[in-house]
Amino acid sequence: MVRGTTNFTCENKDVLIEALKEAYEGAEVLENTAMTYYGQCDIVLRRKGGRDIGFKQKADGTYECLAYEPGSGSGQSRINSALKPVYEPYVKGVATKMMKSNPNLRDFIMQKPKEVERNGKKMKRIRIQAGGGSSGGYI
Amino acid sequence: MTKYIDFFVDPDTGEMEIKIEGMPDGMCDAVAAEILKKLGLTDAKVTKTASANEGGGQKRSLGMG
Repeated sequence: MVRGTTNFTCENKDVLIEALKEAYEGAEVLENTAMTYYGQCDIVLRRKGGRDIGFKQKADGTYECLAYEPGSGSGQSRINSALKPVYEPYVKGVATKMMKSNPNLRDFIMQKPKEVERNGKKMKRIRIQAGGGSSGGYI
Repeated sequence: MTKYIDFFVDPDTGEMEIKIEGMPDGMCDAVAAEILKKLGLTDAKVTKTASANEGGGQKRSLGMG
């Protein structure tokens, strides 16, 4: 069992659940459930093969992550590894939620994610851009 | 000027950088604050690379990471 911190916020619980479903297709996502051998968690991802990933709410409004993740390295690095497929769908979900709720971003649209190099590192770029033209048109 | 927001995600660690471009000062600050809060980036470093008043027609860029 390893544990580590995340930037996933409890405010975006719905986004995190959707991102987990997208990242681990076919896996079960449960709320307020006991994680095998650990205890109660706010969210539990039941991966195929029985290696659960659990999320527990922290006082600062983010989630702590617990996982059965074999391998070497620190607990945090293994947590990061377990959550690799989740980051992109999570950020896309948060950006989509913001576009719906923030009037300043009402006409923004999301572009297809692109792999880019930034400061010598390969990163995924998710761009939202003005110009959706969803308001102010004529019929 | 095109307004856009780039979310850069390190696929290995989940580390994020955000770039906001083309927005007037007040809007840029408000959007940046909302992004930081929503993404849980409470310890983010914010760098303003250029600034312009509303209608000024200058580039407005802000990076966080």
